[in-house]
Order: sequence, then C-alpha cells, then structure tokens
Amino acid sequence: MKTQPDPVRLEIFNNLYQFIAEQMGIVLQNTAMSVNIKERLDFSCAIFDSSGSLVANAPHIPIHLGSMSESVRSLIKDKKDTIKPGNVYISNNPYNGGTHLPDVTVITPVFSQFPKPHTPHPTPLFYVASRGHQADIGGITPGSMPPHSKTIEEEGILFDNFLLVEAGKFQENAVREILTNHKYPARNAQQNIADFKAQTAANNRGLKELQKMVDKYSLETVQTYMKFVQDNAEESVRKVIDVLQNGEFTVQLDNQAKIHVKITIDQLTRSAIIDFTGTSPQLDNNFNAPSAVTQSVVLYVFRTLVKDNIPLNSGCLKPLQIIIPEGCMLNPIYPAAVVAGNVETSQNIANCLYGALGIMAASQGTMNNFTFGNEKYQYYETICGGSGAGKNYHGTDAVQTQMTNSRLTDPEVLELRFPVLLESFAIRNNSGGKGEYNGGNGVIRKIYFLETMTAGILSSSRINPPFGLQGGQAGEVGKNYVMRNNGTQEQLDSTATIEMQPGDIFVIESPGGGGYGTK
Amino acid sequence: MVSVNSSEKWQFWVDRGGTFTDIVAKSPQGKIIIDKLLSENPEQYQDAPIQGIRDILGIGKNQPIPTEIIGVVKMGTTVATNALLERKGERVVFVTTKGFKDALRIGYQNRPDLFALQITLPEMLYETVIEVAERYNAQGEELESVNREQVKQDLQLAFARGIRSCAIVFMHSYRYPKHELEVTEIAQEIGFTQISVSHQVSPLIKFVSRGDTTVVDAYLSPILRRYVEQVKNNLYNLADDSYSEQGTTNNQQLTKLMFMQSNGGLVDADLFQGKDSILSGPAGGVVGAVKTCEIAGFKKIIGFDMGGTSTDVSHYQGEYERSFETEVAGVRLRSPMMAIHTVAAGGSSILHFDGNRYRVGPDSAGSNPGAACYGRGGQLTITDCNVMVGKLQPQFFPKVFGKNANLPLDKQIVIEKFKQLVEEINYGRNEEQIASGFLAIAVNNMANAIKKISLQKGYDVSEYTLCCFGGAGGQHACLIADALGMKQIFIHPYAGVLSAYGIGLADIIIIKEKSVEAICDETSLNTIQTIFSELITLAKQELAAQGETDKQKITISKKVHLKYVGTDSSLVVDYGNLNNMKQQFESLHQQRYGFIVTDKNLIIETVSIELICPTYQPEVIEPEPTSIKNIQPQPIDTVKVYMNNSWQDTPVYQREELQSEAIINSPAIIVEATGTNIIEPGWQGKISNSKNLVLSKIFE
Repeated sequence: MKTQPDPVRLEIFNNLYQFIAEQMGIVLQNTAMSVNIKERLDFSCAIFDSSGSLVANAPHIPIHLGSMSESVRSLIKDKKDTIKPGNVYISNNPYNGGTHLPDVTVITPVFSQFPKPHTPHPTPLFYVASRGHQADIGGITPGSMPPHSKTIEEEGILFDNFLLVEAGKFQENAVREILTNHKYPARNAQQNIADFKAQTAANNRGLKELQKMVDKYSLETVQTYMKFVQDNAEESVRKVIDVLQNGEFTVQLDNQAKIHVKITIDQLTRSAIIDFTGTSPQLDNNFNAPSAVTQSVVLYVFRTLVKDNIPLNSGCLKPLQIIIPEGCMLNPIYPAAVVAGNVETSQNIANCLYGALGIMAASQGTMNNFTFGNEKYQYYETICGGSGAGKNYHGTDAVQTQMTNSRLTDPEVLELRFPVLLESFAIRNNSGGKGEYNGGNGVIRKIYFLETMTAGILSSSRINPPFGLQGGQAGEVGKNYVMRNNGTQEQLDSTATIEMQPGDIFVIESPGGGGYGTK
Repeated sequence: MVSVNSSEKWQFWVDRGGTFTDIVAKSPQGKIIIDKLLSENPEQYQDAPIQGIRDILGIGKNQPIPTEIIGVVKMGTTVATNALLERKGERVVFVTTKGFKDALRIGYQNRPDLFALQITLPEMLYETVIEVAERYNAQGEELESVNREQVKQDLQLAFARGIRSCAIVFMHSYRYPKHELEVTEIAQEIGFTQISVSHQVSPLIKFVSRGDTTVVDAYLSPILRRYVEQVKNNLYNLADDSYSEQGTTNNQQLTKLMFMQSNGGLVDADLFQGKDSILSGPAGGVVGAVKTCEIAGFKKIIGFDMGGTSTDVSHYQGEYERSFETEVAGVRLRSPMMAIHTVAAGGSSILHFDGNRYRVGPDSAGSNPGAACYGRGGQLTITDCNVMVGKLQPQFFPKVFGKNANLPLDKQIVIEKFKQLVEEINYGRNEEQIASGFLAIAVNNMANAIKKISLQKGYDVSEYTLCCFGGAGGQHACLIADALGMKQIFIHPYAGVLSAYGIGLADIIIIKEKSVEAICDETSLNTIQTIFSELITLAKQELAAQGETDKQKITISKKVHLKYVGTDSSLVVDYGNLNNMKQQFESLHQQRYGFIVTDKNLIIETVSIELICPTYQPEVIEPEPTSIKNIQPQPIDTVKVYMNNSWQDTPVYQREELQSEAIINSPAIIVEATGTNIIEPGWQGKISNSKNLVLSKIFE
C-alpha cells in the first residue's frame, strides 16, 4: 500500500464515505416518525474509523458535527471487548461524550462479514452512528428544554452507552422501562422508541454499505483511505492556521459567567493551542456545556475558515489542541444541568473564538429558544437574529447563525395547529452594530395568545450585547417582554417562564450582530 | 417553398435553451427534420426559433412566413428562467398582510451555506412592499376588514413610481380569498397590468412558499408576455407596434402557438404564466424520454439528460412524477412541476487539482470559452477528458471551433494541457490515466446522485432502463449504468434534441389544486366531491379558452394528498372510497418509509385534478422483433480509445447508416449528428426496427 494517496481514489473515497453518511440520513429521515427528525431535519449521521475518529458525515446541524466522535470514543473506552457483532448502543450522557439529553445517539459497531477463524474477540472495523433530537425525553417541562433546570435529572432521561440491541434483538422492554421509570419520565415513550428504531435502521444501512465497500475494494484500502481523507482535511486546516495570529478573548454571558479563550499559533508545526483556562467555574444553572459541545464549536469555527469544500472529519481537529479545565462551565461535573449549553453557550463559544482570531464580530450569541404549551399543545422554536460583520463584509439581517440552522414553522401552519396569531415578524431595523462594516439586524417576533398557556424563553445577549471588532460597535441587546391584554408591559429576563392569558402578546426582539472596523 | 396541403400542415417543435435552440419539424408528408442553432446571434437574427422555422421552410429574410401552411408551433423556453437567475424580471410591488412585510425575506430563516462566514441570501424579487391592515384567522373569521382607502393610496403611489406589476399575498387567503379579491379590484382600477393573486397562483397553505410563488409570477409573467408577443409578431408578420390588445388577426387563427410548462403539459401562448415556466425546457426532456421509451416498450426508466453545465435526472414508472414545492434560484415555488433532480456536472465541468485530490466542477466553462478543445482559451473539462482518451474524435465534428468558428476540435491543446497536469500531479500517471481518473470521478458523482433519489423514493434502480439523451449523455451512459448496476440503456434517434421532440409529443395538461387540511372521513369526502367538480369546471373552462373543445379526447384524474395527523409529508393517492385511499396510502408509506402507523388519523392535505388533452399521437409503433439476424455493420473508421486501462482499437460507426437489427459489439463508437455514443467493454448495442439504439450489458 502506498504511503501517498492516489488522487483519484482520494476523491472517490471521500465522496463514497460522504455518500454512505448521506444514505444513512435518507433512511433515518424516511423511517423516523417524529416531526423533529422527519421534517425539521434535526439529526445527523456519520461514519467513524476503528478508533472512533470521524471519517465523514452528512451535516444538517453544525452542533452535531464534532461531538458525535466523542460519543463513539466513550463507547469504545467503556465497553472495550464486550462490543460484539449484532449489538447496538444508545447514549445521550453529557458526561460521557453527549451534548444535552434530547440529542440521542445510536451507535452500531461494524465487523467483518467474514471473521478470521480462531479470533475469540473480533474487534470492530468501523462504527456508524446517528443522532436525532427527541421532541421530548422527559424532565420538568414538556419538550425537555427547561429554562430553569438545576440538575441533569430535571432535564430528563439519561442513557449511558446502553445496549439497545443485543445480538440482533431490540431491547424494547428495557428501553421503555428506562424511559418511563424516572422521576420526570418521557412523555411519549412510544415515539422515542420508534425513532430509536429508525436510527438503528439508518445505522444498518451504513453498516451494509461499508461492508459492501470492503468487499469491493479490500479492507486495507478502505481503512487506508479513511486515514488519507483525514490527512487531507488536516492539511486543509493546517494551511489556514499558517496565516492566523495569536489572540485572546473573553465573552461575558448575561448570567455574569464568562468564557475565556487564548489561541496560540505555532507557525512552525502549523498547529494551534486553544486554551479555555480562565473560563468561569461550573454554574448552578443550565448554561454549562459538556466538553463535546466545545469540541464541536472549535471544529465548526476552523472549518468555516477554510474557504473550500473540504471533507469534514476528525482530521480537521488534529492540528488543534483544546484545553478545557475540568470543573469549569465548559467541562462540568455530574450532575450539573446542561440543557442551555448546547443551544446558548455554544453560540457564545463561537463568538469568542472568532473574536480571539480577530476575524468576525459577534453574531447574535443566542438561539432565542421559545417554547409554549399546555396539556394539549407543545411548541418549540429557535429564532434568528443578526450575524456579525467581518473584514470586507457586512453582517446579514435575520438569519440563523453559527451552531444552528433549523427551520421555522410556516406562519399559516403555526396558526392552524396552535391557538396563537403571529402578530408580526419583521427585521429589527438599526439593531446591527455600526462600523466600517455593519452587523446584521435582528428580528422582532410578536405572538398573540388565544388560550391560556405557559411560555418560556431561554436566551442570551439580553444584558451583554454582541461585541463589535476593530472599533466596530456592538449590536443591540435582545429583549423579551409580554404586552398584557390590559395594556401593561412586563419585561422578562434572558431566561423566563410566564403564564400567558388570551389577548396577551409575547414579544421577542432578537439581538443584532456586531460591527467591524471604524467608519 | 413548400406547397400548401390543407389537411396536413407543418408542425414545429422548439426547445429554446440557454446556448442552443433545437428544432424538430414535421413536414406535411410526415418527414422529420432536425435543426440546431445558437439561441443568441443578434447579427444574424432577432429570434432563434423563428429563424429556424425560416431556414427549414426556405423562407428568405424579408419574405413573410406562410402561416397558412403551419399548423402549430410548440415551444419550450428558458427566457423566464434566465430572467429569474439573472434577476432581470419586472418591477414588482409586494402587497401583504400588516406585520408580514419581511416574511418572504426572512423565509424559514435558514442559511444556504452552513460554513460561509459571510452569509449571502438570495436577492428579493420585489422592489417595494405595501402592508395592508386586514386579517383572517386560520378558521376563516374576519378579524379586520380591508382598509380600502389606505390600500388605494399606497398602490397609487407605487403606480406613480412606474411599477405596473403587483403580487397580492394575504394570510390564510388560500382558503379565505375575499380580501385578496377586494385588493385585486383596486389594483385593476388603478391600472396595474400584471396582478398575481396568491389564492389563484397557488391555492395552498404555507404563506412563505405561496408568497414566493406569487411574487415570481408577478416578476416573470410580463417578461413572458413580451416574449410571446415578439414571437407572434415575427411569426404572424406583424410590425412590432401593430400588435394590439384586440389583435386576433387572421394569421393567428391559422397557426397555433403553444408553450411547454414546468408540469410537463402544453398551454396556449396567451395563458402561459411565469410560475409555470421555470422548467419549460427540461420538462420537455422528461416527456420526450417517457413517450419514446413507452413506444419502445420500456416501462420503468431513469431519464438522464447530460448537457454542458448540468445533468437532469428523472424517474418514471407509469406516471409523471411531480414535486409540489421546489426551490429554484433561492425562490420557493409551490406549484406542481416535473420532479427533476439537477446535478451540477456536465460536459463543460472544469477539472481541478488541489495538490491532493482531483475534483470536477461545480464550475463550468459554459459555451464560451467552452472546453479547452474548442480552441478559445478554455480550461480543461470533462469533454477534454473524452478527447484525451479518444472517445471524442475531432474528424467527426464540424469545423466550427477556434476564434473564428472555422477550425476542427483542437486535440493538440488538450494533450498539452494534460501534459502540464502530469507534471503538476506527479504521481506516476500519464495523460490518459489522469483523464480517465477525472472521468471516473464525474461518473461517480452522477451515479451517486441517481442512487440518492432512488433511495429517497424507495425503488431499486437496477431494474430500470437508463434513457440517455442530451449532448454529453451517450459518452458516459455505459459507465453510469455500470456504476448503478443497470443492465439496459435506451438512446432514441433524436436523443440529441429529445426535449424539442418531447415538446412535440406533449399533451395539454391543466392541473388544479386546493388545500383541504381536514381529517379524512365521510364528511370531508363529501366536501372534496364538491371541490372536485369545481376544479373540473375550472379546468374545462381553461381548456375551452385554449380553443380545445373536443370532449372525446380528454381524460381527467382525481388525486388526494394524504398525510398522518401532525406530520408534514403527504403522499398522493388516486381518489376513491375511504378504505381504498387508506390502503393506497399505507402501501405507499410502507414502500417509501418502511412502516405505517395504525393509531393516527389521516389528513386530507390537498386535492387536485389533472386534465389531459393529447395534441399529437406519434404513429411510430415498435414492431415485434422478428428473428435475430446478426447483421454485421461496417465501421467508417477505426481509432484508438483508452478504455479499461489500455488503448484499444475501436471501430467507429455512423448511426444514420446502421440498419435495423444491426448488432454492435464493444468496444465501439457510434457517432451521430447530435452526439457521440460509446459502447464500453461488457456492453453490446443493437439497432431496433425503429432505429432506436439499445445497449445491453452482456458480461461483467
């Protein structure tokens, strides 16, 4: 086997690995029952080499990118040689490679179809995994995105490399037991189980395609090119690192916690140390982010620096050494609550990294997670805002930024399914920070309630604005408030839960992005 | 000049594409004539289709076209598609419900490129917005009536600024259109010449995509109108300024002018609308593929139309497949269109080497400068790979290349450029090996795209026939089929102009739809019966307006779009009783998604009717093959082609000279006027009685 990849095969294998991940995604989207996976595409599928390194994935949601690899590695570490053909594992443990509880990962080890005789413990050749966002996984509020959770238990059910399929048999009873036998059980265990089955089916597709590939090209070739595609991605990132400068940056969250990063570039080895020392210790709210989240954000940010269509895999992370002290809010200790880490803290880690690199002013720094519901209805959405300006470009108004790209329900469908009226949804003029290049504007979203319901908002950048860079001004902070039917107005904090009465209007003004450069 | 025959007249079937305009003409005697000319050539002619008609009829530049001998001109055109891509449509005012002025701009708030720091969103098509104080809720209660005075003032202001086209889109109007109608009336009084109203353009739920569709319609319809008028003026020999509103001249009654719509059906020129025009040409290709394959006896086909910049893939197994929501150039279109999957890879896709891996496209050399072998300074492309490996031979191409369009294909420059690549890549590979490598990548990309849509829809592509057409299709057909495990390839004699041919064979199709969004039960079944009769009446009126009154010819099918409660993905079934529709739905759901849900109600999302009125019945019928005669065809040349990692002596055949039932063994090249077909090792070609070329896989 050559030590240099054949450039034709490199591209063909690169496309094939990617295509296997895409096929898994199609199977998952087709066979899933929940609207979240089937229609909002809140899922990702990926394939991994025998060490758990990401080889290829079909990304829909950036936050899933780097973190799945951590789940696979934790499985390898935990289960070692008990991993057998026909077994499938399930995990969402934020303290063992997961991000937050609703994101459940199903992992299938791939073995050779023709095991060598006299090997009592065959080892997996590859792993395939799929992650889907569960509409509900238990916890103190429907939808499992509680604004005020204090411990992980309040956020729902935790699977820790649980054996979902044992020797080909789906452990339905055992899974249902876990989903329902909890202080705050899952509200629709049947749907969870259906989605887990769909994820298993998606993995099966990946397993079969990988086995076919081995048949066609030989195991050695398939494994060698798994390494080559990672080398290729690694090289692309090293090329970018070449031209970066050292930097240091701090982002303050609304709850007074701060994220601090220091990036040190080594031009000689074309590598970077990304050190989060100095970040606030673990919090008593749910803005803690498991280390897999930070790893995801780092991978995403460095991937965006490469202005080319490169494969996205663990190779991208090789030139990057990430340091996150244990016990800080980016590497919390069980049983800290973490649900906002994935959706809110992650956005601010991204801003902090772009700030340290001096590349782009802050984007809105939140996903504006808005929920409402009662016994009959449950609804969840994330709301767009302004993106940050950078060298030579303005930010963009009203768009999903950084770690999310989820779609919004159409206003007519929203009003048909839920007892609300969308009063207005408009660009929030002059909310982007001014500069040589202006930040993008946020939005104003007003929802009028027709029935009594509980509404919740989980957001950031309500006190500390998205920063400007190189003399550019900060974007406007966001606002959450309720206009009561009787004409009064109630201001809300960054995270809040409130009872809505018929005739009340919930208003969310999302933050603008920061400006870049002085005018 | 051609003599006049009163019973049979000329027919012209035209596909006006971005680069070339293809024309298939049928003479009164039934003879087919093919012509291909540049779509834009202002020094020579104003309008390519008209020039083509003149050329074929032998009419001089200043002579009038004898419309009395032309029965019909059927046309597909990219005029509107180009206006959309280049954002060169009409100035539009977007009129919408108060609070929603930015709703189309924000859309579903997602960004197109996950990894771009600078987020670039598609430019909006409207110039200005008017918000109207008015509101219905989802249940049809009028919460606020239209403030007519204010609307009138605002519209007058837009009119005064010179805007003549408006798009009216109100919340829940797909079901409760009263307010839209009120405002339409006001706009008419003011004098707007194009008024696109959302409940008429697309009577379906989803504000954002219905809104986009309405704006596109307002943006493109005036462009189409002008184009139709231009064609009419040229065809009917009217001076540019003599075309008037009442303008039905005698000439117009003689020659019918029809256009191809995105849904695969023809429509009278005067009724051609912007929202239905986007896939005008490609839809003709699907119709051509389906109709020619059906005649030849192939029931399950993958349409594979490989052109210069892109490749269009379609799927057929007995019914045209349509998508009901399509995104084109950043615009969401909620209108039934042929389901066509476009891959950004074609003959002109540019080759890249980034230091580690080869890549093909997605950028294209286009038609100018075009591929390197065109001799106009272009970069290496897929076409050049085929020149390098000998699959394309300059001696079989007309001398229309080079700066002055008078030289043969330039093989020398291709060899030189590949030599440079050999040094740059430095991996111990020679020129032809590198060219084959790039071809393998392009083939893989296209095969993966086909595999992906087949997986999405749950069918097994290996049972299908690959219907191959378009300029570059035949060069890659065997390789694509091999990559997909397909065993049979069909290449029609008019494969090079199959879109134009398909436009000729197409039917008039009128699709009418309406949102229902109700639980599927006996009550709603009664409701939809009423809706069906309304829709059918509408469709028949529209057909009559196109001058078609022959009720014998038409067929009408009724469809119901069903989905499980709480979900968004509907499946289309034939209208029937409750049990029957449920069974159809469950079997489709099982095939596509692998499961069914027993405890969930079904929702009727939409109902639709499709009225079909044939316009032309091809008389060609495939006779049963008699005995297998192995007629040994004579090659016109033998050339060296690099296939399967070695140079092979390869005979070249002229397709037009091949007799019925001729068998062509691999390797071989079959050249024809509009394309080159390669028979790769393992394949065998056979000419059918109707001169179709059918390739079969005979060994691995």
